[in-house]
This record gives sequence, C-alpha cells and structure tokens, in this order.
Amino acid sequence: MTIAAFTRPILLVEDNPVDLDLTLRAFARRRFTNPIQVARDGEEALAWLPRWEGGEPLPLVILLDLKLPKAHGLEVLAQWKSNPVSCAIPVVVLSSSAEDGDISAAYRLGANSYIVKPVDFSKFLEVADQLELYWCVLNKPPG
Amino acid sequence: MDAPAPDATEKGNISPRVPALAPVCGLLAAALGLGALLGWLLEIPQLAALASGRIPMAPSTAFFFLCYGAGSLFLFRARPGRTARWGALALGTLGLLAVSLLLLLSLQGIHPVIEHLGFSPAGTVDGAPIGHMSPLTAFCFILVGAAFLLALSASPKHFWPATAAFWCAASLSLLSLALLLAYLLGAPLLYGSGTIPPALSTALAFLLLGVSIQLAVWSRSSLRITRPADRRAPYHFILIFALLAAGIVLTGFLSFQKHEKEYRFGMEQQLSAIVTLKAARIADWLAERRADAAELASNPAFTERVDKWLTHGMVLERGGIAFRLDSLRVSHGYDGIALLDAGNRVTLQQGAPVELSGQVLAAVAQARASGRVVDSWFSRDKTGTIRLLWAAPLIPAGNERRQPVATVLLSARAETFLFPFIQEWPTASRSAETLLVRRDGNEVLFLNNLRFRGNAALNLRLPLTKIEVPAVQAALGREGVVAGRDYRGVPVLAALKAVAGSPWFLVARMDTAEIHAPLRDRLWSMVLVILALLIGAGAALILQWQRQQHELLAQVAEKDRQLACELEKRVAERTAQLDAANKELESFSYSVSHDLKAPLRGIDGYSRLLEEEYHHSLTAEGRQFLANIRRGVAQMHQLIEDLLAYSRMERRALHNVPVDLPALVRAVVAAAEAELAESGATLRLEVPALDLYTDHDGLAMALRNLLDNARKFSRGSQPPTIEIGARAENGKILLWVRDNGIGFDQKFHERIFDIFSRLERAEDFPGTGVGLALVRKAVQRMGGRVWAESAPGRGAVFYLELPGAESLRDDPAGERPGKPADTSTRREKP
Repeated sequence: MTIAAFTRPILLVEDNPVDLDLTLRAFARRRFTNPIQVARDGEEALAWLPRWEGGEPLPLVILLDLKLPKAHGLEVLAQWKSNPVSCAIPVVVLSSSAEDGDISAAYRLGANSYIVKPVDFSKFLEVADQLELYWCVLNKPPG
Repeated sequence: MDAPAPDATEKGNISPRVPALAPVCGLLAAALGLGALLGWLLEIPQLAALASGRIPMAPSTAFFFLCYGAGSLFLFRARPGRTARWGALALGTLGLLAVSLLLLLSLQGIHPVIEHLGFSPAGTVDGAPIGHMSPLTAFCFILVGAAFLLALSASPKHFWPATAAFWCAASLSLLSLALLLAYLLGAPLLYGSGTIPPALSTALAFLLLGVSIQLAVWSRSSLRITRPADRRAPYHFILIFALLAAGIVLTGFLSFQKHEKEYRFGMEQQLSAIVTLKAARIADWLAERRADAAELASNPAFTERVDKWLTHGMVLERGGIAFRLDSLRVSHGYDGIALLDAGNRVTLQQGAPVELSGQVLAAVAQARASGRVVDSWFSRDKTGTIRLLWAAPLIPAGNERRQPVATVLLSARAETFLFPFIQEWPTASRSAETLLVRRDGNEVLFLNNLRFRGNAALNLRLPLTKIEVPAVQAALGREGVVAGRDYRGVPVLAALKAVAGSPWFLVARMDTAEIHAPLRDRLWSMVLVILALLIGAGAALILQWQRQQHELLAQVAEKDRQLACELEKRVAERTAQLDAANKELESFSYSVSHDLKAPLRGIDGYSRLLEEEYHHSLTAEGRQFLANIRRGVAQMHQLIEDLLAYSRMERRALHNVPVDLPALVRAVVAAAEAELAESGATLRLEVPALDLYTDHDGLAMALRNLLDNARKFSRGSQPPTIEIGARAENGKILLWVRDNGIGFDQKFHERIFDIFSRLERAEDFPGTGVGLALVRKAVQRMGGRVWAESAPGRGAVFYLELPGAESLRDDPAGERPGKPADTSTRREKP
C-alpha cells in the first residue's frame, strides 16, 4: 500500500504556464517522489477518465484549477465525481478565486479541499509543502 | 345603489358643492311658511297664497313648514350632536302624529279651529274653507316626517333607511311637482272638488323640502357612486334633464292651452247657441201672445158683439163672447181672460180671476189711450203668482173718437211656459241656468226664479255698478260671451242676448268650475303623462349615466391593470437588468481574482526565484530592486483583494436577524484583540442591551473596519484610547467609535468615505483606503447612514445610525423570530 502510494501519480490540471511552472518548481523543491501528470485544459483533464476506466493507476490526488479553457474546472469536477471509477479520487481545488460562490459550488460538487492560490511565492511554497505532507504522506487514499 | 364611494362620504363629511343647495332649499321652505304666517298676521292673504284667487296656505301648514324647514338643517350637520339628534327625532315623531291626526280629521270633513293658530281666516275658495290643511298636504307632511325619521336612523351599517328616506323625499318632490305643474297650466288640482286643495306656496315649499332632504340624504349616504374625479359628469346629465324637462313641460303646457282654448270656444258656442235660441223662442212666444191680443183687438165682428152687449144691452151676445174668449184661453194656454168695460169693471171673467193691480190698470189705461195692445209684463198678485198680461182695447168700427168700448186682459202664468222654458237646459249640467233680467232704473231686476237662490223672481236686484256680474252687463246692453262672477260671486262664463220686442235680456251662464271639470280630468291625465315622461327621461338619463360611470370605472380599472402590468413588466425588466449587471459584476470580479492575480503570482514567484537562485549574480541594488518589485506586487494584491471585498459587499444578500448588540461588539473586539494588544490601546465599551434587527455580518464588518480605523490612527497617541458606544435615539440606534488619534479636517469629510481615497501617506498609515468605503456601503445597504466628527489632532468620532427594531416590527410575521429571553444569560465575556 505504502509503496503503491509513493508511486501513484499526482494529476495537476493547470492552464496558466507561469502557474504550472511555479507549481512544478515548488513540488520539485520538496523532492516529490510521485510522478506528476499534467492536463492543460478541461478537455485534457476529462480525457483521463477513459484511461482510468481502462485500468491506468488512479492519481493519489488531483490538483484542479477552476478557470480552464474548453471545459470549466467545476464541470470537470462534476463529471469526475459522478463517475463510479473517479469519484473516489481526492480532488483539491487550487484556485486564485476566494469567492464564496466558487468555494461552495466546489464543495457541493464533491471537492475534498479548496485552497486559495497565494500570490506570494513563499506562501505558495508553504502550500505545496503542506499538500505533499497531507495528501501524499498522512492521507490514506482509497485502494 | 352601488359600491360605496371611497371618498369622504363614509365619514359623514358633506362634499362642498352639491349639498350647499340643500340647506338653502330647506331654509326657503321655512321662509315660505314664515311668509304665510306673516301674511295671516298682517292680513295680506297674497303672502300666504302667492296667487290671486287661489287658496292661501293654512296657518297650520305654515307652522309645519317653519318647523320642518328649520329641522331639516339638522340633517345637514356632518355629525349632529346628541341634543340636535333628539330634537330632530322629537320633531319628526310629534309632527308625524299631529299631521296624521289632521289627515284623519280632514278626511272625515272635520276642520278643527285650532288650525287657525289664533288667526281668523274666513271664507271659501271654490267651496273649500280657507285656513285648513288639505288632506293632500297632510299626506305630504307624513312623507316629510317619515323621511326625517328614516334619515336620522340611517348609519353606515344600516343603509336601507337612507334609501327609504331618499325615495320618500323623491315621492314628495314628484307630488309637489305635479301640483306645481297644475298651477302652471292654469287649472290647479282639487279646486272645486269639495276637497281642500293645497296652496301654490304649499306645493312650492314641498318641492323645496323634498329636494333639500334628497340632497341631504344623498350627500350623507353612499347612494351616489361618483368618484371625486367624476364630479363633473352628472352636471351634463342634469343639464340635459333640465332641457328635456323644460321641453316636456312646455309641450304639455302648450297642448293643454290649445285644448283649453278649443274647449272654451266650444263651450262659448254652446252657450251662445242656447241663449240665441231661447231668446228667439221667447221673442216668438211674446209675439204670438201679442198677436192673440191684436187679433182680438182688430176683429171687428168680435168688437161689434161686445159693443152690442155692453153698449146696447144685448145680453144674448154674452154667451158668444164668453165662448170665444174661453176657447182662446184654453187653446193658447192663458190662465185667465177678463173683459173690462169702459169703466174698467170686470164684466166677464174666464179662467182664473185677473187681479186689477195698479200696474195692470196702468197698462189698461195705456192700451185704451193708444188703441194698441200693451204688455203689462210681469206682475205678481197677492197669492204670489207671477203673470204676464196683455191689454187689448176693443174699438168698434165707425167710432170716430176711437173710444174703446172695452178692454180684454189676457193673463198668462209665468210658471206655465216661460219659467220652465227658461230654466230648461239642453244638456245635463250641475250649474248651468238661464236668467231673464230687466233694467229697472239703476238696478238690474231678475225676472225668473233662480237655481241657487229661492224667491228671486222680481225680488233680486243688483246695482248696475256690479259690472262683473254678467246680468248687469246684459242689462247694460252687452251681447256675446263674457266671463265674470254671478249673483253668488262664483266665477262663471255667460252668453248674453237681448230678447227682441221686449225690455228683457237673456243670460245663459255656467260655472267656470263646471266648464273646467272635463279640462281638469284632462289635466290630471296630462300631468300624469308629463310626470311619467319626466320620470322616464330621468330614469333613462340616470341609467345612461350609471352605464357611463361603470364604463369609466371599467376604463380606470383597465388602465390601472395595464399600468400594474407595465409596472410589473418594468420591474421584471429592471430586475433582469440588475441580474445581468450583477452577473457582469460577478464575472468581472471573477476575472479580477483569477486573471489579475495570476500574473502577480508570476511576477512574485520569478522575482523570488531570481532572488534566491541568482543571489550571487545580483548586486545589493539589484536585490533592492527585486524587493521593491515584490512590495509592489504585495500592494497590488492588497488592492485587488480590497476591490473584491468592496464589490462583494455590494453584491451580497442582506440577512436581517435579531442582533444582540453587546455580544456582536464583544465578538468584533475579540477578533481584533491581538492587534489591539499590539497597539497598546485602551478600549472602553458603553454598549447597552439594545433591540436591533439588522444584517449581522454587515454590521460586524462595519464595526470591524471602524475599530481597525480607530486603532490605526490613534496609534501615536499617549495612550491610545478607543471607545465604542451605543444608544437608542428617536426610534433609531446610534453607534459610535471614538478615538483620540490624529483626526482629520472636516472639509475632507466626504472624501474619507470614498474608495481608495486616503488623507495620510501610506508610509505613515498603511492601507488602501477601502475600509471606510466598505463601512459606508454596508451601512447604506442596511438602511442607515454613517458620518464622522473630527478636527485635526483632536481625535475622531464615527457614527453609525441604524433603524431601530421598532421601525422593523411591522415586517411580515415569521421573518423575525421572537428574541429568545435567555440571550443575555448566554452572553459570555470575550
């Protein structure tokens, strides 16, 4: 189990190249052992669904941005959470928006956590640190 | 009648225009009564009758008019006092009883003297005693009294008495209108019918009283459906009705006049024909009688036989003479024939004895002297029998001195032919008769017996100065048809004719009342038709008016409905616009939070990476630049956050709940405890338990910002002191936050509440200048206001004024749950 957890990927859904780069750098600094998969828009994110159904290992956690091209993050979240295969994957919404509407909508659709993306890079690093610690080490994912 | 008007009628107010007429009418009716009483007092009957030859208003009637006219003023009081109400009630009841009694007595033909009220009216008009109330008048007064009592007992709850009172008054008006119309048409009702007719002034006063009560009841009740805006409408209809009514009445009047003229002409023709025929017949009869006498006088054979008998003593002739005279007597209807000798002694008497009165002897002497037949006209003997006599002198032929040997006296009783003939009338008539009169010096002498006065023949004389009497006019030689008053003083129409060959004049007369009787019948029907037409026209106009009103109301309702629809549509449109604007704002702030923040994150992240990973390649200045870049980013980030907070405040829904003010203040203070401790400020709370019903989070946010503000600007004071207080004032709640900080100049008062506006430099007092803008926005949305009092260096007080709980208690039930009684016990120290 533990070994499996270390090798299971993390799916990062992020369209902004700067945010993507910074996130990857932040995770790199923390020396993540999990492979990081990236989806650059909503459609790409949804394209993972048939692959999971086909038997590919489920991600340990998904970091989902909300404002995505092609399909909105909330839409993607809704589809994942309504699918019997993907519904168990923990989804952490990582968004710049601190709007009540977004937060409550995300939780209603089944998001497991909502984190406002800090503008301050040092705080961003902290967030990455916490994420890794919690979701990859402390949290017990479903089989 | 219809839905009650929503205006002031329910409160009993009198609308200013229509009923202004009502008290005036009532007072005018009272004035007519007063005028009549004055007329009786001053003995000017015209004041009580208003028309010559018509019956005057009885003192009792006048008294009732005075009472009811004055009493009607009670009806016009918006809210009659207790005394006024009881007074009017007593007046109505007593009046009703008294008048009912009078009506009963009057119908029994009993006319109590008490009705004269101490005056002494005497005489009759067309057979009706004056000074007494007509039964019709009494009936009208009963209507008035009933209307009075009904109007007084009407109330907004009990509506029917008002309607009944209205119709009582309406019937009264119609009845009096009929009476007035009859007066106007010249043939007033009930005259000469044996029943006392109502006076002209009575009819007028009843009309006024009826109109007055109608108006009063109309204005006080909800009978009318006019809305204030439509007040003008009925006036058109009243005008149309007045024109129609005038037309109807005028047409009726003219047609009646024409009919009356024709009828009168017919009656005159009839009278003329009768008098002419009778005069001719009487003249013929007289001529025949004279011819009888003349035939005797001019018969030589008869004269010779008389001469033989009387002069020559041939007694045998007597039998033949007697036979001749008796056959004449029998065949021509003489009651007696006498033969007088030269010495005027009766030598032969056939039939009734002829009385040789002075008048007869004078006629005999005249006949003997003239040798011609002389009429002795009427003479009355000792038994009272009236006779006409003719004296025929018998002059023998060949008598050179023409000395009559005898005189024959033919005597005819007036009762045998002349009087019956004169009295005979070709049609059935109650009052018609023919008079035979003769001028006698300065008098006119009635020759025949009269229908309405016994023993008038040769006894009744009237002076020639009584020119209004048709007989006098006839004696003065007038012929044709005249109107006047006969020997009884009754108005009559008479045809006059001189009887040819006599000094007599024949008068055929008939009472005007009888002539007018068929006219009166026709008048009744005419008045009924006119009234029916008037009622019909009025009803048609009222119906039309009501229909118009209903249409108008329907139009108004339709317009209202359309307006409401339009308003609803506009509200919906505006709501949609607002929704759209809100959506736009939402998507704007969404973009702001996403798209503006992402580049910031990039700038911050890469400058941080540059700083960390290329630390050695950078000079101190370069590192300083990077620090500045990152400070700018932080500031930009703060601005974006504040902008978002402000827009959130604008968009967020209000949740009004009962607010425990002290608890809320303590919570706000507790949240800021760390900052407060850091600044070393002393905090004083003066917040009493106040009932507040408002948006809890909005108020908390406002207080938080004000507290933050106070803490920030009092930082430099020694020691910083902050006071939070509250009190209820004029149903509102006043909250204040006082500090002893640097304060500000009042001239910047408006600017400090603008977003991103700052009075101090950012180095001295950090912040973006959004806090007070947020406070103002929040308080405005809660229906309150915010202001500040300050002076530079003297600290500042920020006031929040919010609607109190009282003003919000009217909120729909359920919205606001009762404040739990144990709230205070649950309060905890922060």
